Amino acid sequence: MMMLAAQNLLYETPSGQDGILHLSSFPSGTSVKILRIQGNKELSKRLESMGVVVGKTVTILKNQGSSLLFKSGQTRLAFRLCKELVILGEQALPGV
Amino acid sequence: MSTSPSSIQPDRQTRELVIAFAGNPNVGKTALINALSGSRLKVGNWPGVTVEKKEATMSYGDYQLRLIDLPGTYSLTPYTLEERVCRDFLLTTPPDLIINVIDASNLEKGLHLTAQLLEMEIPLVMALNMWDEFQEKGFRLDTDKLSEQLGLAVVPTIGPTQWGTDALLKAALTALNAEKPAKPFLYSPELEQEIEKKALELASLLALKQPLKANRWLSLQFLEQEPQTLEKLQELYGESLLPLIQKAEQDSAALEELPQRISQSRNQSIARLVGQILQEPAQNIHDRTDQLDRVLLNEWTGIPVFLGVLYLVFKMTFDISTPLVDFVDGFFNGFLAYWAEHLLLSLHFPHFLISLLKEGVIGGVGLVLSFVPILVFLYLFLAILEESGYMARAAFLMDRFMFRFGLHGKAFVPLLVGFGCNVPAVYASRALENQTDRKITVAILSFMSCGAKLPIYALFTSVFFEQYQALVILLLYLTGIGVAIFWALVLRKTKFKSEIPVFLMELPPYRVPTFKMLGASIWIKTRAFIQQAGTVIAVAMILLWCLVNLPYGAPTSETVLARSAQSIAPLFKPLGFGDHWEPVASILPGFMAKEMVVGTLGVVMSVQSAEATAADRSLQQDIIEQLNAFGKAGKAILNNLIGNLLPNTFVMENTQKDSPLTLRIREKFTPLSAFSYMVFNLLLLSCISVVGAVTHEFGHAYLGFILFLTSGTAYTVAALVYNLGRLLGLT
Repeated sequence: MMMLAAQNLLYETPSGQDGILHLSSFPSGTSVKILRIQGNKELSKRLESMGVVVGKTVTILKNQGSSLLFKSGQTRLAFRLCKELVILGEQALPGV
Repeated sequence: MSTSPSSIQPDRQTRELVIAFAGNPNVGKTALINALSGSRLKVGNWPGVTVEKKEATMSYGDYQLRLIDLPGTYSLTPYTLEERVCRDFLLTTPPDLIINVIDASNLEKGLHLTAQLLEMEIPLVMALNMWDEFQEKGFRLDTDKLSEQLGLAVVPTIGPTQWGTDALLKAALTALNAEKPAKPFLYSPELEQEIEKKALELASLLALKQPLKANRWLSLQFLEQEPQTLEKLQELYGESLLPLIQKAEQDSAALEELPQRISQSRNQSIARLVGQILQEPAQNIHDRTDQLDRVLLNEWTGIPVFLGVLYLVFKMTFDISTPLVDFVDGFFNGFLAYWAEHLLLSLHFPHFLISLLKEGVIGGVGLVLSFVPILVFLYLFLAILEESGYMARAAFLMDRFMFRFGLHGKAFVPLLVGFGCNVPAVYASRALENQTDRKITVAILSFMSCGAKLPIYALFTSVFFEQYQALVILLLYLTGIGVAIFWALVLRKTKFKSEIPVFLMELPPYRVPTFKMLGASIWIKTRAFIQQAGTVIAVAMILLWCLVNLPYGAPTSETVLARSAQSIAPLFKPLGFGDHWEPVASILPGFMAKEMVVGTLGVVMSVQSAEATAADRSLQQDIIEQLNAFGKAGKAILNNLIGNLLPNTFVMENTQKDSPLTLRIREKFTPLSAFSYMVFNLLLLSCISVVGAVTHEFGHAYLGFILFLTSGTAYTVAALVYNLGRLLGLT
C-alpha cells in the first residue's frame, strides 16, 4: 500500500522502523493499531481519556497531511499534527 | 427499579440532596437535567457548551434535589478550564451523589472517566444515555453484568424524550442509601499495595486536620505525579501535605514508569470489562455521519460548502432581522417617545427632563432592544450549526488556515460573525476552550468591520469616490483584515506569548436539532445580553444625551459635546480631519454606536431640521399604525426568507449628490482626509454594546486593554494613511 509522505512534519518520525509509522503516514480508510503514544504527558493522558490507548485499533477517515481525522470506536477525533504529541502505529490486519 | 421515592426516607421532612451530573462532553448531560427538572439549561452538540457549572432544582417525593450540570470532562486530571471547574467542584464540595452520564455508543471512552469517578468514593449511578442511537446502531450490552462488575446501578436513558429518567432518579435515591459502595477498578496487586500505602500516608498526615475524602483518587494522583492536582491539594490543605508533595516530586524521577503502569493497568481493566459485556455491530459503512463527512470535510468540497453555509447564515440573519430592527426602532423612537412626551407635557414635567427621558432613557432602551432581533436570529442559526454537529467540523476545516496567523481553528466563526455585528461575535468566542485564544480573538474582533460602519463608508465614498465606491469599501475591509492578522501574530508573540494550543477535538455525530433545544439556547443568550450588556448601553445613552444637550437650550456649537470636540480637535490634525471640530464631534457618539456617526454629523453640521411633530396624532390611530408596521415587518421577513438569496444584504443607500450634508462634508474634508476618517472609524471599537459584552465576558481590565489597542491602532493607521497619502502627492 502506498503510504503518504508527511512532508510538512516538523519532527523526525521513526518511519520504517519495524513497520511502526506515524499516524499521518497512513492513507484514509486504513485501520491502524496504536503501538506507541509519545510526547507531552498531559496530551498523552488527554488522548487516553478520549479512548485512544496503546493497543486500540483506529481508522483513518481523512489524512490532510498537516491534520488528521480518525475514528476510535464510535469517536471521531480531529487532530493537527504537532511536535508535542506523536502517535505511532502499524497497519492492522483485516478483521483485527 | 421498584423503589418508590417516598419509601426510601421514612420521615416526611424534606431533605436537600445535591446530585452532580458528570460525563464526557456532548453526552447529553444538560438535556437529561432539562428532561428531569423541566429547566432550560442550554444544550448543544458542540463540546464546551457548559463552561461553568449550572444548576436546576426539583422536588421528588420528600426530597428537594439540586441537580448540578458539570462541564463536560474527559478526565479528572484537568486539561481545559471546564475540566478544572468539574474537578474542583467534586474535590472541594463533594455532592451527595454523582450521576455519570455516558453516551451508550461510546461506552469504552466513557469508562475512563467512570474509573476516576469511582475512585472519588462518592455514591455513583450510571446513565447510559442516547440509548435509542445505541440500539439503532446494532450494539448489544449486558447492563446487568456491567452493573454487577462496577457495583452500581446502570440505567439506560434517552434525554430528550425523558425515557428512563424516572428509573434514573429512583436508582439515584437507592444508591444514596446503599450499604455497599460501588467497586473501583482494581489494578495489579503490586499497584494496589502502592495505593494502599499512599492512602495511609495521606490519612495520617491529614488525620488531625479533617477527614480526607476521595482518598483513593488522591493516592493515585500522587502516584501518577499529577502536578496540577498536587498544586490544588497544596492550596486546599496548606503545609500538611508538603512532605508528601515533595516526596512525589522526588519520586517522579525515580519512578518514571509508575504512572505508565497505572495507565496501562486501568486501560486493560476497561478493555477487559468492555470485552465481556459489549457486543459491537459489524462496521457500518453506511454510517450517516461518515457519509456526510465525506462531502463536508472533503478537500475540494469542504471549504466551498462551509463558505456557502456561512453566507446563508450571515445573509439570513441580517435579511430576516432588518425589518424587525426597523420596527423596534420605529416603535421606541416614534410611537413610544412621542406618546411619552405627550403624557409628560400634560403632567407639566420640565422640558429638559422630558428630553432626557425621551432621547436618553427611551432611546437607550430602544437601542438595546433593536439589537435583539439580530442576536435572536444569529443565535438561532449558530445554535443550528452547533447542535447539528457542523460547527466542530468548521473549526477543523479552518484550523490549518487560522494556524498560520497565530489563531486556533475555532476562532474563525466569531471573527466571521464580527463582520455582521461584534456583539454576538464576542459571545461566539466562547467556543474557544483556551482563554488566551479567546482573548486574542476578541482583541482583533473590532477590526472586522461590522455592518453598522457601512453607512459611514456609503456616505463618504459617495461624496469623494463615486467612481470607485465598491473598490474603496473593499479596500477598507481588507485593511481591517490585514490589521487583525498583524495584531493576532504580534499578540501571540508578545502579550500572550504561547504556542497555539494543539488542535485535538472530538467531532460529534450529526444530529437533527430539536426546537426545544434551539429555543433554550436562544433564550438564555438573549436574556444574558439584555440583562448585562443592555444595562451598560442604557446608562451610556443617558450620558450621551447630557453631552449633546447640556447646557440645555444652548446652540449646537456651545454644547458640552461641541466644546469638547473643539478642544481636542488639534489632536486629529495628523489624521487630516482635525481642522474642524464637527468631524471630531461625531467620534464620541460613534463610540456609543457607529450608526450614530452619520446622524451626529448631520446635527453638528446643522443641516437637519428639528424633528417635525405631528400635532394631530391620535393614540388609537398610532396603535393601529404600529400593528400595521408589525404586520409589514412580518411580510418583509417572509419575502426576504423565501425569495431572496442574492448577495444584496448590504445594499448601500447612495446619499443625494448635492444634499446639504454632502455639501458641508465637501467643505470640511478632502478625499484623503475622508479616507483617513473612514479608516479611523473602521478600526475603532464598534460600539458601547461591545464594551458591555467584553466587560461581561472578560472584566474591566481586559476591556481597558482592548480600548487602548483599538484606539491606538485606529489613530496610528489613520495617521499613516493620511501622511503617506500626502507624501505620494494625494490630497
